[in-house]
Amino acid sequence: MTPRALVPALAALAVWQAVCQAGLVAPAMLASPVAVGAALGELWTRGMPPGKTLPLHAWHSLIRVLTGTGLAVALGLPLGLALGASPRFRAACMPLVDFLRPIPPLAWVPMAILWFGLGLASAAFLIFLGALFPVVLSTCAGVRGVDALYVDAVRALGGGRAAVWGKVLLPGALPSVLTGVRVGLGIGWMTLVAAEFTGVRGGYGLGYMIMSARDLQRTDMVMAGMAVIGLMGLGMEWGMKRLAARLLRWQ
Amino acid sequence: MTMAATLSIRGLGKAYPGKGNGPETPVLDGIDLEVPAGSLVSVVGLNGSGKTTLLRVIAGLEAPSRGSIRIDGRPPAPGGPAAVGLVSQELALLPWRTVRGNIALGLELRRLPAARRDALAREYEEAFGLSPVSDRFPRELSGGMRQKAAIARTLVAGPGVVLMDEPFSALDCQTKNRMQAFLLDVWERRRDTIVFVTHDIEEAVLLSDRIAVITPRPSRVEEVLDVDLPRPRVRTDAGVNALRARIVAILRRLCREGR
Repeated sequence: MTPRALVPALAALAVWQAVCQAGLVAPAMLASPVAVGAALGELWTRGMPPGKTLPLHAWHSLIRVLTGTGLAVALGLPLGLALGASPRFRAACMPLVDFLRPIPPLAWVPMAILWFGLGLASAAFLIFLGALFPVVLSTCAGVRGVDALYVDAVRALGGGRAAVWGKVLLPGALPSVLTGVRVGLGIGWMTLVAAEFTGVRGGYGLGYMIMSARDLQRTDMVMAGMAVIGLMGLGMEWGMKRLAARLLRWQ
Repeated sequence: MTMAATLSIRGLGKAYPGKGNGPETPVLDGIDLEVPAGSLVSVVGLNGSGKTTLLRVIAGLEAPSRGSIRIDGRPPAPGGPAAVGLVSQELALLPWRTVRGNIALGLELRRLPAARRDALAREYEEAFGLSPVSDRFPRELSGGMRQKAAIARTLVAGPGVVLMDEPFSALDCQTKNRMQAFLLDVWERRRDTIVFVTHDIEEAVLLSDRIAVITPRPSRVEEVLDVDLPRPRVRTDAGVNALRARIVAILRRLCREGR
């Protein structure tokens, strides 16, 4: 990141602080950046609910997102590859995918609780559902987007099916796959927090932390929780971008 | 290394199935072609005369509807050590592989040990002037360099017959002239068997030992002309001009006859 990229962020913070300090909005409606910063400190040391500190909330949420997204990649990648490579499989399965896709993960919450209870499995299942379709669709599009020229080139050099997959379809689809995983991770975070609103066993998670703060009308802590989610999402996005830049040097 | 082979094509036909129950579309209608080992034979024809299809069938990318293809008397074994190499019009260098990676591709497919693969790729890079761009990706190369990389990738795999599908048609005039000279230079040293498809008659006359003129679809070989002109040939040479005029006349006649 360049220093230049910090300018809009700092300007937004300054305006926000000024609005709060001028008394234009009540602190209960909008906490100032300074107050949010202080709340972060309090969340880190005392926790919300007291004793349950921010790092533990963040850790639990992170594990849920990574588990759910990991499962989505583990299943979505082969599924997307098969859908992309076989017109017949695509014709047979695409209606099912298109039927399941618009059902929001939140609508699955009751089913998830019925099937998996309130633990990691339930949260991971919901995130899995959210992240699955971007991974499947991007992978499918990636495979379909590989120019047949390259397939022919490998076949003309004596390559068989395995070579076509290994040397052409997989590397050719990779940019699209990585985009799918990035989108999936983002949706994973959105799904996670919503899922945690509905309750978690053990009482850890950023969504759970935010809801606890809301019950005590701690707007500053609610906003601090939001900021933490934003930062973790941002961090993952940077990580993915760096990974993509390394893997896709040829672009 | 190269073991130039003889290519014999007899009565090669290719038709694509029609839509639904419609009639099939014939593209090749009994092509006969002899390409002696170590010779450079051009196939010229009007646009859309099935030249690319012919090469795709010889390369094993598509099955012929009838007729036979023999390389040193044997049918090309599918999936075996490629008896036939193809440089396609679009080159089809894999964009995610460096020049080195592209050149080594055919050797990987033949499961050569890594050390041997590397040594061979290096040797070809040197011979083709590609050493300085060995670790560049195709998009970072000039048109001429890409051509060289594509040709090197095909030749390094050691095919008995090399097929080239209008490889220079997308190049600007200058680069095209340079690449033609380059190809001749490489060929005169190695003596590969080359089937060179082009719609550029001058190019065919400048390069070839022999020129097969094919008819529009469904294509067959109309006439085979031997090019008995000493190399290096010059564009403005009287012999070159006369032969070019002869081929143009044949193509005009085919066009008029509507076949």
